[in-house]
Amino acid sequence: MPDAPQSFIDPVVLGRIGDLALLARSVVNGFVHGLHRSMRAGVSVDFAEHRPYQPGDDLRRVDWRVYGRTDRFYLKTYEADTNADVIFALDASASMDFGSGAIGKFDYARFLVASLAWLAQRQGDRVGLVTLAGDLLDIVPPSTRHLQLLLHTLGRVNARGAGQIPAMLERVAQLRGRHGIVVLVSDCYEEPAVLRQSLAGLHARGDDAIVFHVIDAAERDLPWTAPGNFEDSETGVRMPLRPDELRKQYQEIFDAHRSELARELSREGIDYVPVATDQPLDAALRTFLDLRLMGSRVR
Amino acid sequence: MPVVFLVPAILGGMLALGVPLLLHLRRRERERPMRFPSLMFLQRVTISTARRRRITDWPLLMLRALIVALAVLAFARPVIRPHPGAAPARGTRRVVLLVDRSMSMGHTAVWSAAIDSARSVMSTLAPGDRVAVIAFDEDATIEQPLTLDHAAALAAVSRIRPGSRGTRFGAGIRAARELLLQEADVQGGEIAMVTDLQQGGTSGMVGLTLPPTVQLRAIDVGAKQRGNAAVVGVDVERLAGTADAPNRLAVSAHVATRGFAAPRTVRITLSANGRSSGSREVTLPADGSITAAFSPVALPLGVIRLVVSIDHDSLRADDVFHVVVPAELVRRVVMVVPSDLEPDESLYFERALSAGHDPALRAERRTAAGLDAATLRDAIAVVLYDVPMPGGSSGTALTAWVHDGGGLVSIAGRRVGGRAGITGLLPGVAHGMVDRTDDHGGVLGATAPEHPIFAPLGRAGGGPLGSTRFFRYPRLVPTADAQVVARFDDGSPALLERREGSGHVVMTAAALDATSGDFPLQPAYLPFVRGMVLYAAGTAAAPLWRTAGDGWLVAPAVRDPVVKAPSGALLRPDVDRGISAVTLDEAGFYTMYEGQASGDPLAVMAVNPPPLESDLTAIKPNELLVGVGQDSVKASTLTAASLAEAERRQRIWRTLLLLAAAMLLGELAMTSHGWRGTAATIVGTAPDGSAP
Repeated sequence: MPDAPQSFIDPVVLGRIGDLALLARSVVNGFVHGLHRSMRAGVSVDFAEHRPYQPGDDLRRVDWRVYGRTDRFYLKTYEADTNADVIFALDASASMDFGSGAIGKFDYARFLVASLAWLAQRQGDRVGLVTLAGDLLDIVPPSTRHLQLLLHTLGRVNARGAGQIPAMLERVAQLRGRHGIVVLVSDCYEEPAVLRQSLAGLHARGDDAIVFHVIDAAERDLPWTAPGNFEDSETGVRMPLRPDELRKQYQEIFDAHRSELARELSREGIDYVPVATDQPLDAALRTFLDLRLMGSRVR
Repeated sequence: MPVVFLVPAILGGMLALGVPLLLHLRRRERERPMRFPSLMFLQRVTISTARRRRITDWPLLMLRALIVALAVLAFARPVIRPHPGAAPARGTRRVVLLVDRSMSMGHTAVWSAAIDSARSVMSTLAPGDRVAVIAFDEDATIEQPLTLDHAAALAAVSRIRPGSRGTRFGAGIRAARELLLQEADVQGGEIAMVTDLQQGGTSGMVGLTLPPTVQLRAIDVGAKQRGNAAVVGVDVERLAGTADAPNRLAVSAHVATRGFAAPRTVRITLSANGRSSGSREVTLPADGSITAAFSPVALPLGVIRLVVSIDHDSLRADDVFHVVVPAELVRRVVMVVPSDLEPDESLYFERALSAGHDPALRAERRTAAGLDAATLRDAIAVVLYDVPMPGGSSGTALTAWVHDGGGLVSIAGRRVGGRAGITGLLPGVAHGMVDRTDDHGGVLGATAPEHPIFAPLGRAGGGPLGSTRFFRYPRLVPTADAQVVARFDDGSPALLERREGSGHVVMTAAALDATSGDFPLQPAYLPFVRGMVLYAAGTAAAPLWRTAGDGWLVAPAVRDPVVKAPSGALLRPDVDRGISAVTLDEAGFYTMYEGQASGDPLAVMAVNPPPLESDLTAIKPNELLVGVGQDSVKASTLTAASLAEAERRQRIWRTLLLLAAAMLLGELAMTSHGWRGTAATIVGTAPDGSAP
């Protein structure tokens, strides 16, 4: 698999691009083109099979040669790119509005969703989006024509309020119409067991799920040295702390959380991909494509 | 060397030391918080609450507390006291003992304690110490100048007795300061003030300063129970008698109480000329005042000495009140009337003159031609009732009489206004009549309410005259030396006055009859008429009593006056040397004689303590000390060496302030560098320094 040009993957460069559509197209065009094909029949030049005519079928698709031979109406079907539903669940809680580097977690997550959506669109998939920021729910139903709407929605949503990943995934479950992929992009401030249970329901219905855990270096390393008053972005709770004295314990707890997330999600066959905001997007795109090629061939 | 503070009250600012501590404990709560995605994991870290709220920066806290302490110490003005061994050559200590002898010190629980305290101060003196004794009330008396003879000072203390006058701490402190500053080559001293620290004694303290080397110490000997009742005033009214009943005197007394825990019932008694004339029980409020009226008593002849007293309490001096009601004298007023005077034309004016007492006035009609020196001899005023200034011998006699102190009142009406008269003594000349019948009459305006003529009209001054209408009045033109006291609303003078030698001349254009206006029907008419005549005559009602400390002026006609004080002491004002008044120091009746103190007195004067002295509310000793500032001006009288020495002793405060300033800079450096500096900018700042 060819690597994308680094300039279109580096988050620092992406941060300078204001247009999400341009950003996503640049990323995807530079990353991959035509790497996989759907097994789902559709509009294509590759013949798949004949099937008997049903009332309401387009008469232009009737194979008149077969009719001449068999005196029955058969329609020609072709192999086409799949149009599976790819629904992105973007965590827009206030905790995502944090960043210690050039790109904050929420911006990084938006770039990631935009790029993945563009990639999915190129594959002929139907893309949809669910975000839940506080009490404000944004839903873009999955459709092949909703990419621009999805990008527009991504552009205007702001991170705020408390995290409600289970509620968001519940709305995703209501949206899905066919077999598809659910992509959760979040900082995963949720108990791993709760997250697993929420995603397990989707997975049990045949959907594939992938969790991108967006991590900022500062929240991972707790690098501060001065005493300070730490405030929870979502709840507003404050704690006067001395980071120096807490760093080691904190890092252990944080790493344990990630390990437990990976363990719990893998039990349900759900992919768990930690992504750091100071890392390029290609690793995330590659993981998505691998999953898309290997596990989501649908007809 | 011991250090004392010039403003020790500021040391209370040490309480501000708690401020840095509170800041350190609370600062973290108020500090702009650092937003973090979630405290989900941090809350799992095992830390105790106490550990979170502890003081995290002890060095900074100590530094800030030290800055506050240094600043407070500096503003308390520390002064290095000279070591006892380094005292000047003349004597070691100089102590001025101030003893309060005001009326309130006569409290049964106070005076003995005051003497004990004074002796206690004396007992602390070393043999080489010099001491002075000053007694003070509203004035100060040096009972004993600075001396090494402590026995003489003790004797001086023993001579002091509480009097009847008020309290003024400032008088005593000033006297003590002057005593200490008399010795320019010796600095330092101590003023020990034995007093009950009455609140009313603080008046006059403004601007009072002491040299920095003089220490003031107040020794509070005030009673713990400061409740007190006092007779603070008496109202007297003469009631006219009838054919069957003599003239009577109605007396009512004002009794004030302060600081009692509960109302109390006392008996109040009235005596007139030494005879009991009434008694009744009254219930006094715990804190307030009442007016108790006695049944009218028959009016004796001559001067009446009234004494109102209540049951004695701990402070007896203000339980008795003395009043002198002067004998009623009838004063003559010569009224020069025109020959064509109608029978009722001057009725209102004459009735107004004859109404009232103290003094009573009797008008005697005369024509202009009938004026001569004999007619004018006993008169206090001459009223020219709508007649011009007489000429000829009458005019000459009148002019001489006014020049010697007589009072002349000219009432200008239609007769004076109708023709140009002779100005003579008068402060104005009439130029025709003004008719205001078409515009509903004129009113008096632009009056000077503070003028004595309007004083009987009350605080509103000439205000009550504003409703009076004057339809016709002469237009007066004032002379060059005349003063316009009141004008009509059209600008025309209504009341003029001028001085002529020792006498007064008053001229009015206001119509005083009922035909040219409605003034006689107004309530202001009577006090205006009497006030105008008495003002011109220079006669004022004698006060019923004076306050202790006031002066009593001896009439110029009295030769070789002798004044007998209530205690029996004889006072002889040296009139030949220009001393024509005696100071009324005692409460009671003062009597004035001529030549020797026997026979009928020429005059009697009642004296009472100042009412404020009956309020025993006290201030704290510190409040007294705060009111006394440091003398910076008087220091100029000191020698250059002593100035330098005083400066050296006060240099500490500068050092302390400089030290505090340096520490402040250090604190600034501490808080802006290192992790403390980043702590201030930690909010929303990423570890690498960039904004999130």
